[in-house]
Amino acid sequence: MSEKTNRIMILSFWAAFTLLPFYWILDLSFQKQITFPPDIFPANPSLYHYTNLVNERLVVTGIINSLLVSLVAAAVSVLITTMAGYAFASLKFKGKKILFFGVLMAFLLPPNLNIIPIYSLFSELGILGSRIGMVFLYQLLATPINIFLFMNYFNTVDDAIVESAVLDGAGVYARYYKIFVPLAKPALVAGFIFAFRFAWSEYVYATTMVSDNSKILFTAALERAVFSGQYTVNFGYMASGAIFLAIPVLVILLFGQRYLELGLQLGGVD
Amino acid sequence: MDKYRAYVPYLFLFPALGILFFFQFFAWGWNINIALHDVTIMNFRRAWPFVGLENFRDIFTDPVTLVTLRNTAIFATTGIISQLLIGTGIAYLLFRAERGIENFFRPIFIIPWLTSVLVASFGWRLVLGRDTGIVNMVISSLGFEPISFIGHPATAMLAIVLANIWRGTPFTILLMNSAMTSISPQLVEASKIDGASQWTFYTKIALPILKPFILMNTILITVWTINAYGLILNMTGGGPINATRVFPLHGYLAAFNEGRFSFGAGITILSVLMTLVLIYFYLRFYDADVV
Repeated sequence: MSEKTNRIMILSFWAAFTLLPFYWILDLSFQKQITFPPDIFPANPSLYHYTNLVNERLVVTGIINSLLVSLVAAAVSVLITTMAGYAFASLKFKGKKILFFGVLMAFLLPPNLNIIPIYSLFSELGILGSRIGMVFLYQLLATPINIFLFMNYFNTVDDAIVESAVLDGAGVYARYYKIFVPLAKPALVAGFIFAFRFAWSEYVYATTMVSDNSKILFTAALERAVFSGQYTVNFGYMASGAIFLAIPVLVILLFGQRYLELGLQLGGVD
Repeated sequence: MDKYRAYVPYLFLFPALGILFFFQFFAWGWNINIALHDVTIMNFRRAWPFVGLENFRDIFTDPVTLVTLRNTAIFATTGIISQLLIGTGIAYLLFRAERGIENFFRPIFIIPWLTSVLVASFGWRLVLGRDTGIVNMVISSLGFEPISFIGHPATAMLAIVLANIWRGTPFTILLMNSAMTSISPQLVEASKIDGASQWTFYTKIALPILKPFILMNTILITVWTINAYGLILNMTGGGPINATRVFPLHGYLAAFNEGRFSFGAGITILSVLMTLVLIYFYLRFYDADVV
């Protein structure tokens, strides 16, 4: 076999490994009775698990809350990280290096490790389990990567444009919202996508911080629905719920891949 | 450039950095504060007695701690090495592939990294499940009894390692692939003209260029593999009989299942220290130029 065929075979093998859980989730989600051995392809496809899942009130509340919290968190993230990115890219100030180093260090500390003090601080501040508390927390997950993204994007803005704006009398504030932000539309989409998917996917904080059923987030609600039986696990909910969780990502891959690639490139990942 | 008051840049920075530093750095200070007091579910809303380093003594005398450290060692070592090797290998194959082939596979490879840990956990539970899994279909068609992977200590560890590799490797593929694209085609040509063998090219030219990326990649996946426990929390809850209870999960469960907040806070501090020590050794190793 030629080297090229080998290469494609290995890549295909890894693609199969990557897609296997997705295929299996999809396959099982359409089987009304999940009995061993399950069908490799659903013989009588049924929407049974999907209709059951959306009839669970807790799950619906979770989806609505998660959409709300994730959208607001993503909007907040884009607003404040464009501001910070603008300052890092275009303004002169003392302590730039040390503050940027701080952002890098924050990127290195996994947020999961902070859950005990944040639980305690939120309790002290009286925002434990509130939606606003979760918005604060979730916009934070994307802050470092979005700051890198916007800083790098703003660095590519032509100096001549900025200089002519200064000559036209655009001040430090006007340049932010009249020049940099309007020029950064693709990056804004990328940053929004990043922040949204962090918030929508988050699991550990969601399942720990929120105890009030009316404020529950989707991942936590789904977990509860799956494990609600005392001795049994609801595999149908596991499969259909995972599909719901994955939908935004699939939408992003289908329609926003250009922005995703841009974001990965500028966010320093790629 | 025009003039603006010296405080203006800080106004632009404040919302993002204020919240970031509050949650990351102030919260860390608060974490140390919790670890030095005796905070449990009983006195969580009341005064906290100061106990000094007593919590750390409790952590080291707790027999489960040793088990969780061993679990972390197995989970992290296998996870990090596999992600590095597989990720770099796939990145290289993508790099060598034609544009069309690369564009076909790339989006597929990113998916696990984009989805929730819950999708990873549910997906692998279903693939490996005794009553639901394709793996067990193969096992039983070969005439063996189906296995409950997450029901037995050794196989449960295998299951979380596998799920973690599945979810973590895309990051290494992306990062190493972009690192390889930064080697200019002219350099490749020049080395060919100079008669350098493939081996010489890889070891003398490619590797030195890739070294800083390998370092950064190794640091990041080490931090994440050691400290991110969400996948394990959902997939096995640390069981069965603590077989997948990794060190930071030990802290989480102590705090939120057993109400021992100070014990948990102490563990997160030790977890970060452990990670920092590892990073220190990476940097030493890197400077020593042994690679």
